Amino acid sequence: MLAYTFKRLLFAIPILFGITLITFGVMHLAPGRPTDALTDMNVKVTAQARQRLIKLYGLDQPWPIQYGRWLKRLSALDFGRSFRDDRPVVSKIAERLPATLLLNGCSLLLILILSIPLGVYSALKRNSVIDKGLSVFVFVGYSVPTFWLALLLMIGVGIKLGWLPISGLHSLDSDEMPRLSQWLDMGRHLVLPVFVMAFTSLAGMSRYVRNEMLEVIHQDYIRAARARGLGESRVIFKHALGNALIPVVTVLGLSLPDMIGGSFIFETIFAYPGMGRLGYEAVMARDYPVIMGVGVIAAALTLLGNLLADLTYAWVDPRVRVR
Amino acid sequence: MLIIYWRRLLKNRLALAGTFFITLLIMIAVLAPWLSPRDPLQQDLLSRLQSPSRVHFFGTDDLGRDVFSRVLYGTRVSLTVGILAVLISVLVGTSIGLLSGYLGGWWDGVLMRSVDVLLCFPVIFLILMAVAFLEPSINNVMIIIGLTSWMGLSRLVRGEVLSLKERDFIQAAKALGVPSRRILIVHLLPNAISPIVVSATLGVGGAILTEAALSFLGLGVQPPMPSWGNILTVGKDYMHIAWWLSIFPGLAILVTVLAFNLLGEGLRDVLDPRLET
Amino acid sequence: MSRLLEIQNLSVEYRRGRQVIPAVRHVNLTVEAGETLGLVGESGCGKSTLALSILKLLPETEAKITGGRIVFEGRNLLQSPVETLRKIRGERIGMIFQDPFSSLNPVFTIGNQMTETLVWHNLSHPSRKARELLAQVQLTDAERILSSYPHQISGGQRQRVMIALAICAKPKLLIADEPTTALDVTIQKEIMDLLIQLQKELNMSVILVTHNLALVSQNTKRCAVMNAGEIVEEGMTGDVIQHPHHPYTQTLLRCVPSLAR
Repeated sequence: MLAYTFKRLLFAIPILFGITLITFGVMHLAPGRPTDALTDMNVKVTAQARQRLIKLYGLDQPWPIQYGRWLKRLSALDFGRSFRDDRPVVSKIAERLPATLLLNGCSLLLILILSIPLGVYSALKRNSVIDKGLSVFVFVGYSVPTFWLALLLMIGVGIKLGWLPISGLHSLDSDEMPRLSQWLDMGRHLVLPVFVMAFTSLAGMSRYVRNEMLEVIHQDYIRAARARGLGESRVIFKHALGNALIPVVTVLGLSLPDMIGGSFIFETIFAYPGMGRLGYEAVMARDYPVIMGVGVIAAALTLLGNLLADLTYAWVDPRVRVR
Repeated sequence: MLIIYWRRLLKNRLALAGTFFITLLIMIAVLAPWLSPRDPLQQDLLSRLQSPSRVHFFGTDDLGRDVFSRVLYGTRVSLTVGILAVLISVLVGTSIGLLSGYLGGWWDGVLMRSVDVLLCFPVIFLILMAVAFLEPSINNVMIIIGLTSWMGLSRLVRGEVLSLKERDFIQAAKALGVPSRRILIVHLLPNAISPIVVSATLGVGGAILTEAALSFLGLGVQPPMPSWGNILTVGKDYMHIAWWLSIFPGLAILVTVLAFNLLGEGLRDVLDPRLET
Repeated sequence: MSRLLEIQNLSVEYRRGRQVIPAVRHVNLTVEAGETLGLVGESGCGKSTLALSILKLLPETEAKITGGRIVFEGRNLLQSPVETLRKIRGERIGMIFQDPFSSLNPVFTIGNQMTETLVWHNLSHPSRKARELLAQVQLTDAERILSSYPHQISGGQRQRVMIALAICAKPKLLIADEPTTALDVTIQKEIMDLLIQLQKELNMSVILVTHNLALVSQNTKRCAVMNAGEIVEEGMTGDVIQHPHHPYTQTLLRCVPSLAR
């Protein structure tokens, strides 16, 4: 198991390099120089000053050298300073990252909590109302523009009914609330974004669980377990689920890029103070250091997610480990 | 053999429903100028943000434009972007998949690792970056969506090629000295077509959703050109006072994507090799 | 000799979509206490279906028992409530299947699956009992096997584990559905010998379901020949083989030159 972990980590390194390379490449393929954002607006900046700035950021060096330098600074976690407010990029990301992780984490939890029972029930009671309803739900779920769903919920639940807040993570006066109320307040703010983020994945994951369960239920070892006299719940929950959930774990890990990507859109829509929104604002403001920082971190998180999924899979499925 | 598929297609309800709706949508797109009661670009600042009425079926937007007409014209944008973006991604994905699977070895390694790396990036972020640096426009959106969604298809095609590569008829062709390019295009490709077709059809739905999201965020099709996404932007900006603006464009997107998904799933059933007896 | 199991007029159908395929037609069969009964026939004749119906292990969505009674120890199993049936499975009637690899859950260790079954049947000292059982089925490397996963042990070992699991509660009847078909020829004999020995030790009846006539002739006292869902011939194994009455039995015997006269 340890050897497997090590091997996977080793394979992850070139991918990490690839990530930094691509982020770097995209930045420098963009027209204009990164410093244009700083200098173009200011008429008073002379050609000389502009040259000095370019030299300061090392933008006159050939690409490989620039890349090398950037990589070196990255390894020290120095992502540079934001063009907008000159604060270190790392700080800006660090203060927003927890919120994004919270959002994604809650979504993942919601997906698990809802999709597993739904999928298992559909598999056990094929062609029941719930099963057929699930199929329809999956279809519609894959076709719904989720940002529209977010909008509708904001209007319906947030404005018309006034039940839930539609933006941010904290109410304006949350600082004055007692601890428990603060947590509840955060919870209320999280409901809509988490639900919308989980929505599409929920549909797909439920169907996936259903299909896996169906496959497992027809296996010989289930019949053999029944032949030994084991009770139906034990057969289903230990023997069947024990096998069916294994691929589910991997698929969950694979849905991470979509989720982190979704963060960018939903955090913006809900004005949620997370890394996704930071990235969006940085893109709109051409704040290159922040863009690169967020890009690398987002991709790295995805990589981490995939790695964890692989490792969990290996840990849970004994057939994989023996390799 | 195509006849078998054709017959199955005619019996498959999903595919038929999807085709029906898609045909309807294409007709709307083509006939938009005749179906729209008003010019979608015409502003009427005296009738801003009106609720649905007999004059303006879907109401008016913040510049007084008739939303119904804009939604009808929006069909053009969505269908064009959806289909062309998918065409690009199919071209790129199939080529890379074919090459990677057929050549194997070092090429395969490099190409597939690159795909892995690209897949690590939230596609949205790649698109955001790309679109922000090239001025947002319908053409750029098409190209960018196409260039960021081919990865899954390439893996699919590669898989097909790998399994077909060892089959006898390919070995025979090689032994006869048939040049690789010919083998790829004439022998391998037709057999790998089924998953490509299914993936492409489902991909149109995805592309339409992406374009809508981008336009919604202001990074896609720019007003005054009507896109379902950018009509919803107005809906969001005025959601407190003109909530009806947010309903219809979204429904249009839903129906369109649903149609393509129905067709795609139907095609998947029809083209399923397991049904070959 | 008392009658342990009586199958009376049993009929089973398979349903796929609109098609209905009869698999077992009005079958009558009895099993005496302590005897080994062979159930022979080609693939598809319905013998496995018959065997599976005894414990109601047929897939519900595809198969339906359309008539008859299965009387075991005075009860009609087909009418028994679920709880009763569950108690009978494993404790009064045990079953082993053809492919030991797919009959063991791949993600749990042998030890885990054995302990689970032993505890379930309320057998005391499950870990000690597990080792005793493994010894009883002639597996010597008990520690290694208990901590292994199914894919880590050999086919013959897996089948022995299956047998151990089936007899752990000392059932009165063991149904063996093609127990040696998936094994190497050399192992087949060992497993059959084991089954016969266990039968004597535990004084239980065995229904040996197989397409292999040679196996039946060597190991059973009585046998029944099945074809297309019906029992076409039945009797003492020696008689059936040497004086077959039914044309089908004769055809079957002709295919096994070593048995035919």
